[in-house]
Amino acid sequence: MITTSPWSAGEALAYAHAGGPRPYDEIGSRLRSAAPHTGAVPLRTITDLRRERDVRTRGRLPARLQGLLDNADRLAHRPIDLPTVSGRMGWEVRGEVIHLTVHPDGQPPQVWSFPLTAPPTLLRDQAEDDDVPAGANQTHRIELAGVRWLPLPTLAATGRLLRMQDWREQLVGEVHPGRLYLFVSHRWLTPDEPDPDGTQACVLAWHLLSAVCEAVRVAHLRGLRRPRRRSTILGVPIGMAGTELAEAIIVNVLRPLLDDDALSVLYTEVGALDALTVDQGLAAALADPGLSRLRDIAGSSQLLRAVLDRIMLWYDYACLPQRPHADADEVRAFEQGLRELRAYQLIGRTVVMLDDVDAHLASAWCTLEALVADAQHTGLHLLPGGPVPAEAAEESARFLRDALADRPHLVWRALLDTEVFGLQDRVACMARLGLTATRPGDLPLVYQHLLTLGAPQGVHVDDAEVLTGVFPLPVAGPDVVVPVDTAWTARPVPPGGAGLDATAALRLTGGPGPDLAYGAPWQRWGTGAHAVIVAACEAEAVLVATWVRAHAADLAAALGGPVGSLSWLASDIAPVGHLPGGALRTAAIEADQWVLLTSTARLRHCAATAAVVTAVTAAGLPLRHVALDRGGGNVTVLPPGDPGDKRVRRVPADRVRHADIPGGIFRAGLIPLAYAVSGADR
Amino acid sequence: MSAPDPTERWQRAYAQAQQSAAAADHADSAALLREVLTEMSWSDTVPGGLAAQVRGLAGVAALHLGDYAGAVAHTEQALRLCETVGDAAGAAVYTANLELARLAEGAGRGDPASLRTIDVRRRIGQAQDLSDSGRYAASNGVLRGLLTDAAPETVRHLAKVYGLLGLNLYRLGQLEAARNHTEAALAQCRRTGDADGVRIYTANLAAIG
Repeated sequence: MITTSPWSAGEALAYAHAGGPRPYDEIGSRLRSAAPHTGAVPLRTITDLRRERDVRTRGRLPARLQGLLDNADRLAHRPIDLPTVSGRMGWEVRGEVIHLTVHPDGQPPQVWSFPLTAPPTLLRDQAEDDDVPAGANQTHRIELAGVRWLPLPTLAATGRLLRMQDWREQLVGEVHPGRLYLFVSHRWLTPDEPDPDGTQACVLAWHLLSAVCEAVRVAHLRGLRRPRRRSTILGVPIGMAGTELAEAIIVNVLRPLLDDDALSVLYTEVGALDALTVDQGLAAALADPGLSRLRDIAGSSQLLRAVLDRIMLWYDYACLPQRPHADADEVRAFEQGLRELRAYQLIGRTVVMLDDVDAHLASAWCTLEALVADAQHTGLHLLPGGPVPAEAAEESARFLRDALADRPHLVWRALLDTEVFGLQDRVACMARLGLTATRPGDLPLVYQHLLTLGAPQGVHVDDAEVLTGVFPLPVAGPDVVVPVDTAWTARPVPPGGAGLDATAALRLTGGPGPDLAYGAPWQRWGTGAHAVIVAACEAEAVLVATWVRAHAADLAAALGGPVGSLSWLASDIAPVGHLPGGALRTAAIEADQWVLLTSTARLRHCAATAAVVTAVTAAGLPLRHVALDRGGGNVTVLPPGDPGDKRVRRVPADRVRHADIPGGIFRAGLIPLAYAVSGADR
Repeated sequence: MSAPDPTERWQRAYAQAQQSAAAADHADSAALLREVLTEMSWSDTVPGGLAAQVRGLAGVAALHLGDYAGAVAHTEQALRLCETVGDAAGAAVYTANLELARLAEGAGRGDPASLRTIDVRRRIGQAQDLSDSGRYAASNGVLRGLLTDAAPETVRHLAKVYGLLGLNLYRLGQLEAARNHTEAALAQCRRTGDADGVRIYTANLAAIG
């Protein structure tokens, strides 16, 4: 029996979790500090990001010098196109510029730099259409009782954001095509008024005017109906393209509203606003309290006014009846609005007003809104929430985007600790996530919204993932098949056939927790297929395992036969939650039929999942995949493997050295461990 | 145990200073490098490459600490040492650093030429941004303004100004004017021995046809 590994995660986990329940972020940061092995893209907690930000801030040159340095790239000579050159070629995208480096034989390297807006023919030819998706309102009739939208010109006319009851008649209830709906996520700067001095209103209005000007310019230069293009080589938009917000305005407003002639006229008109919109309108906003200048501009052009008329905002203070409520109807409307926030957000895109990124990330509502936008891929536009220099705004935006990359994983584990294991109450859960609300009474509601988000759809893969649970080794005749490689084959995964809505397996209801008696990492209760669960963490694995036990009949119907045993494996990038197993062991499993239950993303990207699939299919055993994140068409027969596959070793059952490693192992150690289990050298 | 070889000790201290610089602790980096430089000044044999690296990093630390005169002095020496040992890549880096340090030092003194140079660079950067965002005519407006002002500091960047005018005119479909300006850029690069410029504007002329 193998009980130790140089890649053991035991000590790091013990250090990370030592001293009782800590904030989840702190546990993640401690784990990273103690981990002897981290990959290229390890977990990034807010604590780590703050440390990195401090280094960047200290390392920044004095402003004047930094300006000189920033200009240096712009002073280089620029080619029109890439001439025919022979030699090895590399590329790097820095900011908005692509640097192609050609290494001609026997000559020094040559750098050819192009703006992303005017790439060389070589890259233009390798690009595909990539418009931002149109809002749901463009193609669907949407009716949401009680929702009220604020037209941008109404905000301009008033000059500030009013309490909903003070401009109720000017708000719009219906959702129409040809409009862009924007959900504004922002902090409340005081308990009773979110924007006491009107700065948020001015910045928001001017930023949107700037985005409209940018959209008009991009549409005119690219062609109103021509889609944005994305380089298949670089993975970024190339050619004339605007910010995501400007592109959303093109798709949702300009195309339905204008023809080419009207666009030309508007292009000329907005050209006069270049100087005012160069910094996304921030300076103009700060110089225009009350928005009188913006009002004059909007009033001077019918076309511009028509575009602004079609930009609709949802800002809580301005669109939901505010306290004190006049009557029961207002209370009902307010409560209904809070319950349906996600629906409002999903109609359009989310604009985040970022004044203080640390406070933003501590705000329960702001975090929820960012996670909803992330989960539903509705786009997240960041704009400064107040008067901050451009570089500080960029730093805040970068910090928020980095923090949001792993935030869904931490939140999910906190919810699982609360709902699956009952380790803490909801208040403690929110506190350990570092989430607060201006009105503490809102926290239970935010918690309920977080529950409905379910498991994060994306996976974060890295060598620093911690593997725990049971690694199943299929038995094929006298041998046990051990995977010694985590590479995927290039074979395409066929589309799903039968359907089984398994999405509930990854959802928390807030009701009674699952029956933990069904949560063991290896269980046999009858004859039939063996189910392998590969989950993001142990708690998620327990949740899915209990779902499998509770839905045995549905599963049998979808698979055409019963499931008689299961094992689960957790591949956890953020092992900050409770680990009831906290060990990794191997088990030889005899079964004629295998079922893999995991998410679509994990099937594509997870190394541990790849190893399981390789072992089972190379053993010649039929394997079906049930995509846990899909409601239908989600049962797929995976292609059979190659019996001679070099990515596995067939080991006589009595020669296998099974592993049982307390604390599990970092993913970097999976292959060395597999070799040790197979009794062979690498 | 014998004391480590001085070169080995300097290399270790240099590596430590690099780490401090990466962690943005430039005061610590400068202190470590100062010690190394002091020891080097007593020694008869100092590896030229290492001395250049130490001077270069000391220049960077001085820049971050706002000691621009010190930055100029260190970087000048780093450049000279690179030239002595034939390190072209190092020389290119320290040439760029030195220009930056001199400008910062001059601007700090209120030197009019430095301030004008900074302004010229800023306006060229602005013209490049306008060109990158498809505002070719506006970009040309900024560049023509620079030529009209005829500040002596513009001469240093004349090839860039003509070259970008040529590129903008090409994008605007004014091929004859594009060709003329690109030829002017190419001629300027040949005069100043700017090999990158010669390569790029030769290619641009071929693209213009």
